[in-house]
Amino acid sequence: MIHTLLSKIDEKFGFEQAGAHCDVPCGVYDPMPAQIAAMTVARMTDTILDLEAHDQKDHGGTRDHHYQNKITRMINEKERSAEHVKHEVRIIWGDFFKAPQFEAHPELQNLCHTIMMTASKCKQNIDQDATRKLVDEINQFAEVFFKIKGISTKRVTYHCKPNLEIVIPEL
Amino acid sequence: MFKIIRVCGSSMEPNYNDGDYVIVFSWLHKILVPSLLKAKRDIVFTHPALGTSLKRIRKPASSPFTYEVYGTNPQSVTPEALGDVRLENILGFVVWRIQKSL
Repeated sequence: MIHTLLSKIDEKFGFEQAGAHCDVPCGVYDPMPAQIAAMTVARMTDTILDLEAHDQKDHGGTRDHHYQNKITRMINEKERSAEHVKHEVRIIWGDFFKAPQFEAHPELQNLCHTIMMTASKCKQNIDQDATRKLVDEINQFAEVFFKIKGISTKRVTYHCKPNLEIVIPEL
Repeated sequence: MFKIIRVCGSSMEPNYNDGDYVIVFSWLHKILVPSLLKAKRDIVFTHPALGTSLKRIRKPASSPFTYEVYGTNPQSVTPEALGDVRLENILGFVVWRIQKSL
């Protein structure tokens, strides 16, 4: 009852507010790290396939320690970047999107889940098609994100190999 | 002497929830230091980055008339990130919590 009374007085006159902050408030969210990570997954998958072809053609398929060093580093980077995609999407899904956004964009939940599945597929396999699908899904995610922020977007060719299409904001 | 302040945020849960009101006694602590500003006392103070804030005193800090504070929720901004609170920035201490009706 006292709280209800104070709420009414607060509405009319406005009490001072004390923040019980739960984290340093930053409010900085952007799908770009996820987009770059997805591009890296695509690039690493391509280089892994190129390395196989190079080893067969010029080294007789010896797969010596130089080859093993390179392939290990590429797989490691592919694994790390795919996990980074999942991490970045989870942050925006969990911290930025709220119930009104999910109501306005009912496809979001499924899209986020699909990204998780595709990123895992990219980790489990050397699958170029899956990496292109991941980039495309992240682009769709970016388009929804910027639509929610009221910022228009455009699709351009990314300047790094494999020069896939990327969604960027028109700021 | 008394101020009514609205709690905003969850770093003091479960002791204070978002939307609660607190009655803050706002000047006596400046006269009766250190007897009133002791560990586990909840204070409202102005923070250079976060503005008016509610936190609990952990203990007096190493410098005179400064206090280490923390949020009771593990997700709170850490005491290290908050820094020590100087007496001159303390607006008062909580004497009564008015819980939001559920």
